[in-house]
Amino acid sequence: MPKPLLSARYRVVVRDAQGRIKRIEEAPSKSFILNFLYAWWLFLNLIGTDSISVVNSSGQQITVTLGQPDGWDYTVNVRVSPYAGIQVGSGTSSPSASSPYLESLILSGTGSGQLVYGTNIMTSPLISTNPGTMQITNTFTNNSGGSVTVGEIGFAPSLGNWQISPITYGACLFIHDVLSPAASVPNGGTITVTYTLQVNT
Amino acid sequence: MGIHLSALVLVRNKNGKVVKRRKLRLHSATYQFAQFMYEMFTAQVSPSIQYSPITIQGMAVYSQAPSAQALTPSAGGVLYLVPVSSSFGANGTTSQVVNPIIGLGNGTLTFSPSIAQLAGPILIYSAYSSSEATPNLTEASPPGAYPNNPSISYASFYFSPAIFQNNTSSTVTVSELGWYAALYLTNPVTSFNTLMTHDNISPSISIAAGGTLTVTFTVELE
Repeated sequence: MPKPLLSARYRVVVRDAQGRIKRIEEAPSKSFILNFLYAWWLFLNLIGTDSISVVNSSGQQITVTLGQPDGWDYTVNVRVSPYAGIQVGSGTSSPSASSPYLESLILSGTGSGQLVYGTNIMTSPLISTNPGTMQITNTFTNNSGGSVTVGEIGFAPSLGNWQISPITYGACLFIHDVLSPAASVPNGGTITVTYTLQVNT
Repeated sequence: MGIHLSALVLVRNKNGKVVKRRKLRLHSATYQFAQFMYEMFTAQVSPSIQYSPITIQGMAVYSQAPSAQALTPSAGGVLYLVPVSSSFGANGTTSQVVNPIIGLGNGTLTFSPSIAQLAGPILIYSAYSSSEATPNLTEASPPGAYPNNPSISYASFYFSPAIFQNNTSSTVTVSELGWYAALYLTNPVTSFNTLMTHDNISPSISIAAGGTLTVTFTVELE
């Protein structure tokens, strides 16, 4: 199998309320999804009526119609917090390339089944090794009062129309992976998800 | 699993007959590719990035061998991949068009992510330019490569073919292939092309006098 130009790995670390590591898992990411191709294509072939599926700041699934080239772009840290960057969900079904969302997004909060989304941290590209890498990490804290099960994770940069009325934007899922078995995050504990994007040379 | 870029290469003789057909996997991304991906995801341009702007003349072809140059974005600058249907001014003018282009070379690359140009770039001239003295190849399908709609069935999209014609009286050998994407920086405002992928072609491809080379890029999800 020829190496791809762009691939990814993920690492998941679950800690209990005392900070003790309960689980570490690292594996190649299996599923880039079609959103990524659409995003590239939209970048390359600007047409004002093209649209793409995203998750907005309330966790709702919406469609963004894109406009002019200086009116939209990708970012992970602004505009769409908290769902841009790393996402976690409770679904366990195998990812589908044609599905633009996690099966069941875990909302940010302290209610039952929810996790508090942290801040995405993205490293600058490291190219002294082959493959070149860059990482994005986020830590999710369980303050729900009970355990929360994470069955799926994803990488979803925000993508939107920033300057053309109406301004719309959301987290656009590019990579989707299922954890098997699902990870149980105890109350007071955390789950840290790191995606390493690999640029092969 | 990941994102693949491949190129379908067709060589025709002067009578239009296909004499070679190959599908090439493009294996090697450059630092510029990695940097652009990072910038895409963060909307932050590193102050230390090195790009390799090339001189644009005519319709999306280069008339000089590209030379690596430093580009230092100012604070707040945002980098965009230029859609091919846009028309940003290049090199301080508004009359020139910058498009993603295909670079061809006759050298041999030593693979390194820091490569910013092909080892032996072949000069490519616009079909509309008559001022060049000794062109190696002429781009016969200006202004470059346009992407077509993504195919859901095959999880891919492809660029319309770029055709290069050998108008010299001798055979032109192509041994390296690169994708120069067009980028646009908001601060300072500038647009330029930069090498995103670079691959050797082995064995090399020969284009007879009067013949053509057709290159079709495809982006695939696997």
